[in-house]
Amino acid sequence: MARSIVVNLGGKVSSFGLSKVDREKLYGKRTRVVVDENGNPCTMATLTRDGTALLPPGSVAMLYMNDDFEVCERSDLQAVSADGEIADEVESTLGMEVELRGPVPASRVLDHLAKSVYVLDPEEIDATLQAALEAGQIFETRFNYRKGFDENTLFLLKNEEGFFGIVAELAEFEFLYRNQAPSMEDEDEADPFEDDDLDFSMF
Amino acid sequence: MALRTIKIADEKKRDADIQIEPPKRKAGFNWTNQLNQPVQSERLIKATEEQTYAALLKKFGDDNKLALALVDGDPEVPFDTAGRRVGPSDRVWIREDGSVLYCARTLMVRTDASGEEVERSDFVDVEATVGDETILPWTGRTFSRDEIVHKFAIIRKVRLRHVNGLTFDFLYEIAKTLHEEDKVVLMRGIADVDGKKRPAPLIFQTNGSPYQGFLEGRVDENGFLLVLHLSNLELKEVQS
Repeated sequence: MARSIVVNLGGKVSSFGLSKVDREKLYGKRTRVVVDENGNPCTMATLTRDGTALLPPGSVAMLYMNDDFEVCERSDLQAVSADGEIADEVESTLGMEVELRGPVPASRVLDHLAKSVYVLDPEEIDATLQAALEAGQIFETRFNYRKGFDENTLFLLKNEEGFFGIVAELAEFEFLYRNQAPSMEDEDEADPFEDDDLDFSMF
Repeated sequence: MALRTIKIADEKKRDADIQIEPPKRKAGFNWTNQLNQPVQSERLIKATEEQTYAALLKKFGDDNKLALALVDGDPEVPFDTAGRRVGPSDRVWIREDGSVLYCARTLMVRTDASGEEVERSDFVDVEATVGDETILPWTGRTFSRDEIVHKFAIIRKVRLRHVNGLTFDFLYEIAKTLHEEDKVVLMRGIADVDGKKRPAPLIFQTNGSPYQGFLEGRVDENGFLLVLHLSNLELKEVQS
């Protein structure tokens, strides 16, 4: 059975079915396809730098191993935070009643980055919440699609298209001041546009 | 990452070279096994191009002979390479028969929302519209924050930062204008279309994703914050 987002605002419970907003299903897609001299599509493979192994898709296994080359099953993994503490696994919030907070200002949403977006189908909605959402107010709650170590924020809002849930993570910036030293280049920081690929769908 | 330099104009059409930077990544987790020994993710070789189904079928002739060979031995396991770390590697394109392609032709294939192919043509590079050679103009089209968050999912963002005292003043003034108006401004690039300059979505590198950009400004007594919010997804219901 599909699980729902169940929220409690001031003691009143509402629940929503959810389906992911997929860019391809919304806009279609433009992709680059590499073909050979006969026009047949080709696939990307990995060639080891020493030239001894050509690895087509499906030829590589991802494993977790300790320094002695012993494999650790995924189910036996423990997450350890930067301060050395073992992190607790967080249960999925789907089907679980979670507290709804708000209304929150739009700037609160802008302090986050969306990871996924769901269209919500109200199965049972409290009249007060519905009225607030229809008035343009935004609410937030915690969200975890499946059991894991990360917990995200879900922003609940409504526009003329319907009810939406934006799953997001906090990505705030600090203010800049005149005498602040220029930012140092960070080798560990990935270029945010490195993985960009052609896709003009929305335009 | 090297910070990128871009050119941006204010509402008085003055432009300046400034830098953009992404948010700091959240500190991730390290992983241990149940004995609290650190473990790392590794990529190991399972097989090579000689152990694919197509290669084995070619080697043994038909499915029955291949099945017998699999029962009698382990032709699907390359004992000299299986279990080895992949290590440094390059990406190559291979044909259906597994041979490496030395000269590739790239096509652009467009599919509609139902997944049906509607266009196929030779791929043409799409140039970046944001960078240190093209000025991002001031569009003057402003929106409330509420309008933006109700219409778009913001999937990326960069902070605009000054490179010297002059550009501090320049960016502070932009942030102050937006802060006082309590608005965000639409940012568009300029693209060369058939020899004419046209407004275009923000593209940060050749063949990169296009984004709608919205610049938000906040100021306090001595500092400013200018964030360019980027979206390539509208809050719309998928039509089934």
